[in-house]
Order: sequence, then C-alpha cells, then structure tokens
Amino acid sequence: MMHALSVDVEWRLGEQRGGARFDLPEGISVLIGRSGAGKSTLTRLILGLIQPTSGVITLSGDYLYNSQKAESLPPHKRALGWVPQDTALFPHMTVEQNIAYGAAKNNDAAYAQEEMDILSITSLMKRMPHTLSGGEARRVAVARAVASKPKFLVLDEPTAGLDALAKSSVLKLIKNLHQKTNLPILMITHDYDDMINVADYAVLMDNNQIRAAGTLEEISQTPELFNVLGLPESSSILSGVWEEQEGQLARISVAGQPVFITMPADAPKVMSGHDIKLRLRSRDISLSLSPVEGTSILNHLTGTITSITPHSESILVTLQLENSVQSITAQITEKSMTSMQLSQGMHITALIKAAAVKDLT
Amino acid sequence: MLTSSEIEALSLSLKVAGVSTVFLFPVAVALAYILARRNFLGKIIIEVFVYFPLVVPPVVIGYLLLITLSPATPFGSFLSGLGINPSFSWQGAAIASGIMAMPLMVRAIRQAFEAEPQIYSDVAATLGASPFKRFITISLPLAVPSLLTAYVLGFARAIGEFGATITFAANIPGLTQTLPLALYTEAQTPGGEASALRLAILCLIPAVISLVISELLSRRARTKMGLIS
Repeated sequence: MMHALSVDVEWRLGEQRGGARFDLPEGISVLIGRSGAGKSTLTRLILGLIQPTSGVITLSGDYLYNSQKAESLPPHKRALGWVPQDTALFPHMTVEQNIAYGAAKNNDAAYAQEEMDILSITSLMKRMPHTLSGGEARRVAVARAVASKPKFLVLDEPTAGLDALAKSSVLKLIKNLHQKTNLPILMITHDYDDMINVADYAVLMDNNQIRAAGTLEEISQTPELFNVLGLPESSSILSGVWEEQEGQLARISVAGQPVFITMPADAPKVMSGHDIKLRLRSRDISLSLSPVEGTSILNHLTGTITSITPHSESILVTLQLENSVQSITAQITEKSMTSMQLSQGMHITALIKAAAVKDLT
Repeated sequence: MLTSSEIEALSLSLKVAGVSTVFLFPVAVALAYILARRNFLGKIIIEVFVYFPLVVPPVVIGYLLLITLSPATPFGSFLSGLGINPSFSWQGAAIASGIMAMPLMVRAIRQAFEAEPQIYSDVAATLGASPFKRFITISLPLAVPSLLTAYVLGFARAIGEFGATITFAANIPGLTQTLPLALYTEAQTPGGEASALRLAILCLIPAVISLVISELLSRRARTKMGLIS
C-alpha cells in the first residue's frame, strides 16, 4: 500500500538525539505529544528545514530524503504545505499577496478561487496581516499553504491560543478542507480534544521517540497515551454506522451492537449509513458480569476482557467488543474489581448511558 | 550669502557622499547578509576587513589607500593605465568616505537581517521560493526600515569624512575639498571665522534633513507591517 508520507529517520541536534518511524495514510493524521516531545524538530525534518543524520523520508513514494543515496530535496522543492503555529504571514504583504506568494508555484486561478471559498477568506483579501483576528490569520495561512498545491499539508498546532469557538471552527475547517480537496494532512498538536475531533490516524511522540501509531480507535486504547499526555482520564473512540434517529435518540451500529446517543434538537441531520465516531469516557462505563434487565441505561455492549491495568487509584479494564477489533476501556474502583473477580478472557457487559456517549463527527 | 567656494564645497560633498554611498550600499547589503546568515571558514577575515575602519584612525586608512592606489604602486599604475587616478581626485574622496562609512552601514543592515525571524524565510521556502527569491521578496523588504536608517547613517558619515580624505585625496579646493576640509581650512585662516561657521551649519543641514526623511519613511514602512501603530 502506498503511504501519503513515510518517515524513518534518526536525528541529532546538539545533545538531543531522536528517531521516528511511521507511515501516514491519505486521511487526516495527528502527531500528538507534550511540548518538548520533539514534534517541532520532526516537523522541520520532514519539511527539509533541518537535516536528519540518517534515514528515509518519502512523499507518495518519492524520496524527499535518502541518506544512503545522499539525496535531500531542498525545502522549496518538496511538495509540502506548511502552516506554522504562529501563522507567520508575511507582515509586509496583504492577505492577497500572501496567498499569491503561495500560488506562484502553480498558477491556477480556478483552484485558488475554490480554495478561498472553502476557507471563506474572500472578504479579507485587501487587509494587512496585523489587522486579522487569530482565527482569520490561521485561515489565511492555510489558504497560502494550500495555494501552492502541495501533495501533503502540515499544520503546526493550528488551534493554539484560540478560544473555544474559534478552535472548533478551525477544526471544522480542517475536516472540510480535507473532504473537499482530499489533501492528506498532518496536524501537530498537544491537545487530546483536537486529536479526537479530526484524526483518522494518530502518532504519539514522547522524548524524541515515537511511542505509538495507529488509527484513532487504536491509539485511544493505548495506555501510554494517557501517561504520556498526562490526561486525567481515559476515553475510548469507537467507529460505527449511523442507522436512524428516533426523536432525541440516534441509533448507531458498532460492529452489529446498537449504541444509542442523545442528539441535541438543533443537530444537523445525518444520513443513515454514514460513518460516525463516538467517544466514551472510561469513567462513564460500568461493568456487569451478566446481562442486565430492568435498567434505564440504554447501551449494553458485550465483549471479552483483554487487559486490566491499574491507573492511579482505580483500575482500567479494556474489553474487546464481540465480533469486532474495537475495544472500550472502563474505569472501575479496586473494590469493584475485587468483588467482581475480573480476569482476562472473561465475557462481560459494559453499560453506558446514552447521554454519556459523544458524537465526534 | 554663501561664497562660490562654499557652494563648491557643498556640491562636491553631496557628490562625493552620494556616489560613495550609492556604490557602497549594495555591497554593504550583500556583506551584511552573508555575515548575518552564513557560517563559513574565513568569515572572521571578512568581519575584520569590514569593521577595520571603525577602530583604525581615519588617517591610517587614508595612508593605506595612498600607498596601495597611488600611481607609484604597481596596482596604482595599472589603474592610471586605465585612465583611473583616484588619489588627488573627487573619486579618491568618494573611495575614502565610502570605506569609512562601510562599517556603520554593514552593522546597521546586519542587525536587521539578524533580527528577522527565520520563520518567514522558512515558510517562503515551503511555498517554493528559492534562496535568492527569499532574499529579494522576504528578507530585503522586511529590512526596509533598517536599510533606510543604514543608508542615512552611511551618508552622514560620508559627508563628515575628514581624516582619510585629506590624507588620500588631499585638500584641493574645487577638486577634493569637501565641506569638512573647507571648514578646517577656513578655521586655520585668519578672518575665516564667519565662513567656518557657515560651513559648519552646511555640514549639519544634509545630516538633519536625511535623518528626518529616513525616520519618516521608516515609520511608514513599520506602520504598514503593524510593528508600530
């Protein structure tokens, strides 16, 4: 299978050494890690702004860097778009000139117009960068990067420093951009919510090394994710298929098991058969040794326990859902653990209130 | 109000300072960029060469020019064979004042290039800009306020040049006698006090005017970029 971007490099910057090996698929990927994890260094290596000590980087199968053949394309010859964290719009140029700078690489007016419509920046064209709001500046910076028609787009902490509203609009825009242009994207972030909101695929980085990589569903089950990011709680991500809406409740099928979620009255209508991602917080999941009847809890998912891990003062119990590769993790007390006598391989039922399931789509 | 020799000294000074700084400026920009952005073996030699006039007495610079460029030297006779005879000519005065202005100009421009956040050039690179395009479209325009200041500093220094000029180009009225040299001559001459005062004021006027113009232009450039409101 051809990957959008493949990285297998080692680097050394002063005393700091690092290495990374991962392949990114065509969708939206997230590189997540705490600040100082080496994300920026890795980004600059991919862009060609600094050089690895050895390894290989390929973009859609073409070499950007290959230490064995002593090849390294200079940054201006790599078909990569980059939106740095502080946007770095050229302060001496208008928005229009900033975007034209990117577009100079390809000269496609129709493409540029379509892109500006997607990013809704047509009204900003005559403004100088310092007059833009944080959200506007980010949209313009994305437009400038996309205008160069890259084969791959790198977004460095695109939501840093934005308020909740601007943040969610930037995340929506990223998803929208990907849907309309099919451009593979790597978003760098330290924010767990950013990741679960946009990622199809995620790479976890810590201490200049890759700690885990996989689909969002897989990575959300990685215990390291919570340790590395220092998250107070664990969550599971499930993917499912939208079946139908019954009043305030929507029914989603997760590997054949129904999951009900409550929908706000003003939520946009979803077509049945649509793929959907759900987030379940571990502390909202209860476990039962046998199927439960006569309860107000709507969601009963059955599965087999695959791991039991102590986590601060509680226990994380992961179960793989029946007939599926997907897993969920429940957070229970030591007392429950002892009284239920849970062990790996046990068949068990997880109970989740409909209101506790969050739709990420 | 001004005597013809004073007007002559003024126009000669403007010519000498104008020509020397116009030729010096691109060289200073290139040197400043190289010193700010590149690391290479022998960089220190260029640095010493560029900043040399700042620490050496101007009269020494003039003397060094004299012994390297006079027609008595091989290089000087080669130049005069080409019809170029810089010593004892206004071109010689321009060379002397240009060399004396160089460290100031290079320093001011170098600081601007060093202060430019690297990220703008990095982004431009990912947008397909070659190193040369990045220099022309990013580094140079961002440095405009400092370039103006640097030019004015260099021009003012060139107008005020005395020691190297008098040593290398001599003090020939109408040929190499610039404002400071004329002022020196008048101050030495009995009864020349009034003329010396007028010449002193003449020295100040171009300096003040160019400072004001550069400050205004530089403010405009910085306002446009949102650096000041």
